[in-house]
Amino acid sequence: MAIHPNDTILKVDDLRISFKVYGGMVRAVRGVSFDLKRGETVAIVGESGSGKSVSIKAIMGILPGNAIIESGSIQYGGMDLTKVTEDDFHKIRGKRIGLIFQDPLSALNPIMKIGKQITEVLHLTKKINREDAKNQALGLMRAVGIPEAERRFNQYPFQFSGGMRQRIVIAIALAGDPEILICDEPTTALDVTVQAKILELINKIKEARHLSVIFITHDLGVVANMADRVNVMYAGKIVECGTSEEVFFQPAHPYTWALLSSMPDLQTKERLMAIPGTPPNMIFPPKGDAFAARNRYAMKIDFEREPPYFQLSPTHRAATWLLHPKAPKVPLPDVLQARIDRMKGSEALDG
Amino acid sequence: MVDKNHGLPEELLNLPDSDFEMVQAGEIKDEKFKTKPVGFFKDALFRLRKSKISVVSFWIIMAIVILSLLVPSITGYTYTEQSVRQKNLPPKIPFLEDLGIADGTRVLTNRKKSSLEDTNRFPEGCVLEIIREYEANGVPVVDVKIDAYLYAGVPEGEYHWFGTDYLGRDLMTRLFQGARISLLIALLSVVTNVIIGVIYGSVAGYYGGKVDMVMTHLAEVLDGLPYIVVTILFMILFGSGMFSIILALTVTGWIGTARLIRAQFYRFKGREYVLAARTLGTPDIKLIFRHILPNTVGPLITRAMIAIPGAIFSESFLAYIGLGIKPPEPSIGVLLSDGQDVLLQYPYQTLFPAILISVLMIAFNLFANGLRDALDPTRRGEEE
Amino acid sequence: MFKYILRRIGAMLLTLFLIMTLSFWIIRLMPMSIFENPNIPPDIQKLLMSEMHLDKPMLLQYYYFLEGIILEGEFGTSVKVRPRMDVFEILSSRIPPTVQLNFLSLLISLPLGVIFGTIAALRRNKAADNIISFLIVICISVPSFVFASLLQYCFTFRWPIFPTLYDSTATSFFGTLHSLTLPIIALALNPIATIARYLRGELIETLSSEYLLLARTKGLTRAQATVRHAFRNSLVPIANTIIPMITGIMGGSLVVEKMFAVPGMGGLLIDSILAGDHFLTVALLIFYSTISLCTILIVDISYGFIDPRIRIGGGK
Repeated sequence: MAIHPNDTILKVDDLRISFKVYGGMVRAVRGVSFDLKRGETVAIVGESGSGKSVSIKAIMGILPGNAIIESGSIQYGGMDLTKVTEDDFHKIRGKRIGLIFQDPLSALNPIMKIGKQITEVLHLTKKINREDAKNQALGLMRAVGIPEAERRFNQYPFQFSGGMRQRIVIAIALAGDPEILICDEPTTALDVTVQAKILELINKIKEARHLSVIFITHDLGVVANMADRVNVMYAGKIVECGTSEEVFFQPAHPYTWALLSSMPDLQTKERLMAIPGTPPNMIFPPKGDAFAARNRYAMKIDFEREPPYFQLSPTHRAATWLLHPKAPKVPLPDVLQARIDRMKGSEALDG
Repeated sequence: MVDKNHGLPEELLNLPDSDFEMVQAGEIKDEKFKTKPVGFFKDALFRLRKSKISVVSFWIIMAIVILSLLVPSITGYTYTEQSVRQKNLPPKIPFLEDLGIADGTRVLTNRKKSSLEDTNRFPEGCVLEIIREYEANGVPVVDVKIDAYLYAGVPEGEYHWFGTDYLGRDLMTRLFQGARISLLIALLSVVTNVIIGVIYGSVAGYYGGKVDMVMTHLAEVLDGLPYIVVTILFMILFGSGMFSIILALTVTGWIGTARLIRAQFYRFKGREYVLAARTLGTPDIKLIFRHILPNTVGPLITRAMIAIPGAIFSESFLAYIGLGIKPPEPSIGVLLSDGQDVLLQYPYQTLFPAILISVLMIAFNLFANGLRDALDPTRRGEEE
Repeated sequence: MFKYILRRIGAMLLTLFLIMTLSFWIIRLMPMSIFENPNIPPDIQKLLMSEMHLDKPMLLQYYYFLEGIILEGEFGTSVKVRPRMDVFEILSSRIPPTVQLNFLSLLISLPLGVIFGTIAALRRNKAADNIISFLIVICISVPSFVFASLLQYCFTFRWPIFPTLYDSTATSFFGTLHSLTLPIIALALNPIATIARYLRGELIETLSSEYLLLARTKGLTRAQATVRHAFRNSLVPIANTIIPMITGIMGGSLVVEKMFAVPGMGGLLIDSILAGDHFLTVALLIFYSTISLCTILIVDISYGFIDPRIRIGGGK
């Protein structure tokens, strides 16, 4: 696994974002820190509403108007992206950080030809002349696996299938030749059979273009194949982060346990474990550990005091009081342990 | 390897043991909803009442409705009562007259100066002010400001708030009588359209297939006909009168409602709850009225509310082109069109109906907008 | 695309045919009082009747009626408004002012509506938006003939800037235009407001769409994204409002023409309705339908050109 410990390309530090709404302030992101190293894939995993999309919108500078960045910084290329004005941000978007959307069905302009939606980037932002732009666009279309690129170039989005549209969205994101690619649940809206192909494509492109990738998803299964490191988010905070192996094989946070247990796989005979309860109302974030109310292993302190990060290894840390020396030693739930053993087994077979 | 204490500060390591007791060992139940469920209409009403504009428009509409019911019977005139002597009187309103507004005066131009002495033509005291004296063809003439009520021999203490028309009829009585008729036409035509539209749309949408195809095509062809042309043709056929207008407004007016209902049926008839009811043997009629139609009530109300000002407009339009209701019945349109003929001489005859129709249309449109927002299910629970 | 156009033309012809049929039967169902004039001797009445095929069976009459219109442009003869004059001749002199008035109203309302709608959407919930939205409600609610009265009173009587009535003696286009200014404004206010309101809504929706976000994340500036993606996409659905707008303008012009004495079809229609001159009325209505259906056809077809989904006939 290629990790360059000192070559951090993007660093998010203690980011706090709130939304002004009628009833008050929604604390969507409450002190998120993570970093992205050159050439690696970092996954951010969480339920919808956990603040993962908001965080990456902040990185892209496309937060909606009622969002306020309260504190924290996003360090990139010697700049703090939270301070970059709209007038300058368009020089970063696309050209240095690209974004792949969740829903390719609505992400493409329905009445503009596919080709033009790609060449537009080259043309407007890179001042490449029409001829070259077209050639480059065709090259991109072939690179993302679109057959008959020349014919497809003059078609409209409604003539493309979901998977093909997502390929176009990827081509558009690549057109600006960014060094960071952010994928916001790129396979959620697609058929299962297409999902794998898109993931494969993203991996292939990443290798070919030496990209660094931030991968947002709620699906741990997807993460397993993609990510070098994983951040698990809950209620606007990162509750556990570590390398894929660490998070999958030695999960420490009860929320991660719950997520892993609720993940369907082919071997599981038992009922899937759902996570009881609902995520907290983020207008009034709960005191203490936000997950406490849904946590079977919650302790008294979970309701009183926010847990700090417990460092488990240089790369692995988790925010749960269960790791405190005074806390009772809770073993992994049996279902999960069995599952981890199976995963390890299959990994050994693969490797 | 990292140290045993996970890099924690001293202070955190010394927390009391009691803090680390498990407190949720048992099963965790999904949290119960703490808030009471709010019905769709209650929710809509709540949001409607939050919108100041909607509330104000609602009360304006109510005020006009109440005025149109009351005014014609309390002015002391009837809307048909003519008096040739008292024709085209300017507005005169108690109290306001003292301020010089609506004081029942008028300027007469180009009168022979000598005629002012003639008390048959100019009753005593009716000449208030001589504005200009000059000569025309060697005869001294004057422009005078007169008290039009004295001039016309109206008894002291009689007021026509909005003046009178070319037949000496009290315009305020006629205006609110007219509003009553215009509103009635609008209401009846909209109700008829809704009933026809709901039945037609339900049948087409519920049965689908060939029935739907034929019905939809028929409606489409009818809808292609220019609205004005069809209305005029049918007005010619039916002759003038209130029910002719309602009929003419119905000829193509129901199509929009039918289309809306049909679309709603297509949306809901395949839903599981409807299928479930059907497998339980619920009869068609009950499926239509109990299970599918209620989903449509929101858009339907909004639509009807928007159609009302449309119908008021159509009625006035027909009155303008001479296809209004039968005289002497007034309607806002008839009054407007009569007023237009003498706009430059007696602008007040246009002014009052113009204000009334404008206010009424604005209020209906604003209220309909508010209602649409309030009934829009995608906006439920907003601004809780 | 070709198929689409053919289909639209077919639909239009069917509609026209329906209107003619409807007109025919409605006239024939009317009491034939127009000929029961005691001053006309019975033999001349008879002659008139046979000249107009009124003595033949209904279906044959219907055939003659259609044949006359379709093959010869023959609409019959005016009976009361301009006795014994060919309806088609009366019409042809009346069409230009009407078309002028309608076309000019439409022409000014499109750009103005677009400008106001765009300003309102881009300055959403700011002062400019509030003012425009307020004016939009007024202009949509108040009928064009009320505006016409107001304008006529204010600008021809109180402050005589414009002539009260249409100037048919004007020699230059600008002379005519000058006397048409008030009717044009009266007719255009409502369409301007309709377009502005619709565009505002559309633009606000597209501005928050995913593809606009994509346009921005691929590195376009806010202005570039707005113009290239939001604006163009919002204009497409505007075509939907143009059809009811045209019928609205044409309906309004019937009345407004009469008010400003524009020698167009509107005044003629009102005269013929009031006089009970049914041949003329029907001919006017058919003409009126033809013009409005042609306009609708043009809009429909150009809509097909703007929106690829219609042109290529794909789903979604």
